[in-house]
Parts: sequence; structure tokens; C-alpha cells
Amino acid sequence: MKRGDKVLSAIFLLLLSLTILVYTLRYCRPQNGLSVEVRSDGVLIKEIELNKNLTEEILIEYKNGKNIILIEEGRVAVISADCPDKDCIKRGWLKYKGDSSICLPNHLSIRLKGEAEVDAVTF
Amino acid sequence: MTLRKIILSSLFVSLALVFNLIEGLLPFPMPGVKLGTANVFALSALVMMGTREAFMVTILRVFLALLITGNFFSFFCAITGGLLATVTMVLLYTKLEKYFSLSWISVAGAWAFNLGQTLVASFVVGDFRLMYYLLPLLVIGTISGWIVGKLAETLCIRLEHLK
Repeated sequence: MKRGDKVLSAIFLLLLSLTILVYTLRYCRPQNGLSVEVRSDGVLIKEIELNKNLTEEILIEYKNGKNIILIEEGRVAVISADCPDKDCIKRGWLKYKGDSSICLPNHLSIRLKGEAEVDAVTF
Repeated sequence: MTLRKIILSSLFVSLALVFNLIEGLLPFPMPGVKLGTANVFALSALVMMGTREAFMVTILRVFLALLITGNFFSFFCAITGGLLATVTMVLLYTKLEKYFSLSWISVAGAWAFNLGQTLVASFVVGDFRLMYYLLPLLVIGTISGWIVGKLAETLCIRLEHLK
């Protein structure tokens, strides 16, 4: 290994431990008081509180396109999008605080939020 | 540009395009994650021919992929990421070659790509908290970038006689 290689591998190890730390912290927190926030072009267009008994399909329609999100048992997923790549659907269920799914063609971002969002570590 | 260079670089462009398209068909668990095998050819072009050819392979491949898939958002991510990655790899390879081996040059390129791609995505969606996604992307990018670098190294050794 050359000298620069070692520097880069050290950065990699740092990134790896940081990722593991951040995700462990995120997934070990109690997941209560979750709400889902829907933004288009960064502007908040909808905010729905999640609770275990709620099942709901919501059509989100705005200038860029249409998406349908499904809320069920405290989790949320995008189930329909009128764009070609469907990355937001492939993302699957969002369950944890800070999880998010985005639809680039529709400029849409959906994100789970906890009741008290204070520190950056939880995203 | 010699005839040999023209033939070799067009071969690399077409191979990069085919690998790019096949990769697009494979399912990956996280959006934005790809092996990046197209970069094998950009990197090999850099080693075997030079800076100009490396940029050519990247830019032509991204534009041709847009013509075939029609996906503008992948295109914006790929052109920003691809250019950043190529600039990084060219600088490391031409200026600091004695400090870095090819697989780690490729890793640095992958990091630059990840940065460009998340910047574009955050910009489009208008939410810069998306940059947090960079962290897991960089970790995966390191692994795939390293593999890509090793593949390019092997390819360059095998094609030594074509130089």
C-alpha cells in the first residue's frame, strides 16, 4: 500500500464507524410520536401524525406530478408515482425517525419526524 | 489523435455504455447505489491514453445513456458526479501518482461522484438535509470504487500491448 492509500483507508474506517454509530443511535431510539412530513421543492405541503391504528392512502397532487403514499401501523411508504424511475417506491417502508424517501422528477421529499427533533445525530 | 487512440476510446465508450445500461437493470437495495462498472473504462482510458480520453469516455457515455433511457434525473446526477469523479481521478493520477495506487484513485473518484450526486438530489428536492444520505453512500462507494479500480488495473495489464 502506498502512503496516500493509507490515508484514504483511514478516512474510510472513520466513515464506516461514523455510519455504524449514527445508524445504531437512530435505530435504538424509541420510535414514538412519529409524524410524516411531505415537502415539494422544500416547501412543507402536508404533515400527518402517525399512530398504530391509522391506515390511510393519501394522494399528493401538485404542480410537478402525482404520488400516492400509504400510511399503516406507524409506518409509511410511497406506493405510486407518475415518474419513470420509481426510486421513491423502491425505497420501501419508512419506519424510523429521520427515514426519508425522495422523488426527484416530482421534486418531492417525504420524511419521518419525531416529536422532539433537537440533535443532528438523529438526523 | 492516432487511429489506435480513436478506435480504443470509442471501444471504451461503447463498453462503458453497455455496462452502464446493464447495471441499470440490476436491483439495488438503496436508491442511488450502483457498482459503477462504467468507470472501469474511464479509468482505463486515463491510464492507457490520457486525460482527454478519460473525460471523453465519461461525458459521451453519460449523454448516450440519456438518449437511450430518457431519464433526465439520472443524467443530472451522473454528469455532475461523473465530471467531479473524473477531475479527481485525473488530478490524483497525473499529479500524485506516486502516492496512490489505482484502486484508491478509483475510490476517491467514487467519493467525488457520491458528493456530486447527493448535491444534485438535494438541490432538485430543495432539502439539503438529504446530504446525510452521503454517509452510507460513501461507505458503499468505497467498496464498489475499490473493486472498479482493481478491474481497471487488470484490464490495463491485459491490454498493455494495445497501448
